[in-house]
Amino acid sequence: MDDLIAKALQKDSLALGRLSRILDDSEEGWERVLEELYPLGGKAHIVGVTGPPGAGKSTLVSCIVSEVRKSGRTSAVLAVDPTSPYSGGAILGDRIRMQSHATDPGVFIRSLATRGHIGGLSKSIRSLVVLLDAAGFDMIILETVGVGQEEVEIRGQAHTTIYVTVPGLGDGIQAMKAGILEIADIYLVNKADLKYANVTVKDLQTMLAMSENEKLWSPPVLTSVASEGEGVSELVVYVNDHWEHINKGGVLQEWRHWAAGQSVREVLRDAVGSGVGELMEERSEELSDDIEKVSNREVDPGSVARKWLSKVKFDV
Amino acid sequence: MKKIRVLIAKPGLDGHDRGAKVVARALRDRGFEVVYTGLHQTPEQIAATAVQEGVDAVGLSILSGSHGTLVPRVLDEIKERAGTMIPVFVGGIIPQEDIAPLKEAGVAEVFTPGTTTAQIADAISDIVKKG
Ligand SMILES: Nc1nc2c(ncn2[C@@H]2O[C@H](COP(=O)(O)OP(=O)(O)O)[C@@H](O)[C@H]2O)c(=O)[nH]1
Ligand SMILES: [Mg+2]
Repeated sequence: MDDLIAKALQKDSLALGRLSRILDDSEEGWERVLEELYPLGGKAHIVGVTGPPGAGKSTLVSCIVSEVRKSGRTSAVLAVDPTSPYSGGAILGDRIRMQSHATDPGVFIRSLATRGHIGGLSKSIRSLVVLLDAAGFDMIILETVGVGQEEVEIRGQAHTTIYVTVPGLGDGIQAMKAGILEIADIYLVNKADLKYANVTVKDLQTMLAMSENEKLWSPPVLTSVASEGEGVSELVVYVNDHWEHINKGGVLQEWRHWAAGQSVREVLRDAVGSGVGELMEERSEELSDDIEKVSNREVDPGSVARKWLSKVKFDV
Repeated sequence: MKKIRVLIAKPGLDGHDRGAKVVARALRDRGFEVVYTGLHQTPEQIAATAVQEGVDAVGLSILSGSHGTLVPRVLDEIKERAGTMIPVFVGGIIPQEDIAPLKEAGVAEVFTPGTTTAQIADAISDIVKKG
């Protein structure tokens, strides 16, 4: 394991691939990997790309990577696609648009399945960001599933969030209702080669003007044709500007504290949840007896829960 | 239970990926995580992707008849980049007499148009579980 970690810190893609798997699958030793790597990170610029399926997120991510590489920086991508609730399987197809970077040693791309996690990302994504951050990638790009409103989670994961939409979705109003306007630092109307792109831009601008933003950063509304690489260098200028902006004036410090809080709370909740789950499975017969008592009104559910909670063993 | 992760890739120049997509969907429906990379992949891209994605197996779909040259190159690239061999499966239009040489070269199994998707899923999961 030490050998794997040492190699991962050199951006060795074999070691990164192995460790990604260990973290994604919670294989034996995953906790130690994070213990070792966490103190080494905190330098990467983490960029989230969210928006509806088919908006061109993957195509755009690939363009952003090209732009970042042109400036001599390295980049890693974590792209999430949904797990089928029926089979537990998934088709991870984001890479189709990114394969021009497959053999570039300055780029590492890993596809992830949601595996039942709600929020547009995967449960393991925090751990994988820790890995890639420690490995020294300058920019880490997260592509969310893009199913809509739960995507607020990206806020707690990325320093800079780009919301990608396309003309004619009429999602301006929807976006406002869903609180999406709170999400993003940059709005991008992709597929600007299609009709009515300017209408969508105006819609978004109007919505943003209405949201009475008192923050120091006012989110721009940009356009792009990702399939042609158009508008991407302008986008990346804003992405870099935003990073500079939050690096000034303690914004980043605040963000870090807030995101750390999200992480700790999430890990705690998960640990409690899986500890309880394991106990219920291990001693299911005993639990059935108690359930029978509740069903006969001999005891209330709360008393049973309290009795069981005292038996939970937490190993985090 | 541990998820099985596979890469489905199409090397070479032929422009049809319907078969590859059918297999990808069938494997998903069996609970596999399937990384799909689309058409025209070079052996280098396939091997690099397999390594980054940490897959348990690689499936190559080849309809162009160029399996004789493509497959050994993919196998070499994987061996070089992964250090060890990741099981490689080949599917597509493969003449009967070419199957034995492919297996000798290191291919785990060859699937022809008659193979059902259930058989493909079984074969992959058997070999992956054997380690
Ligand atoms: N017309 C047009 N099509 C695009 C543009 N950007 C991406 N596409 C296409 O939109 C489809 C979906 O792109 P993808 O990047 O996979 O979207 P995602 O689901 O949001 O990741 C693909 O067929 C792309 O080629 C664009 O700017 N204009
Ligand atoms: Mg995508």
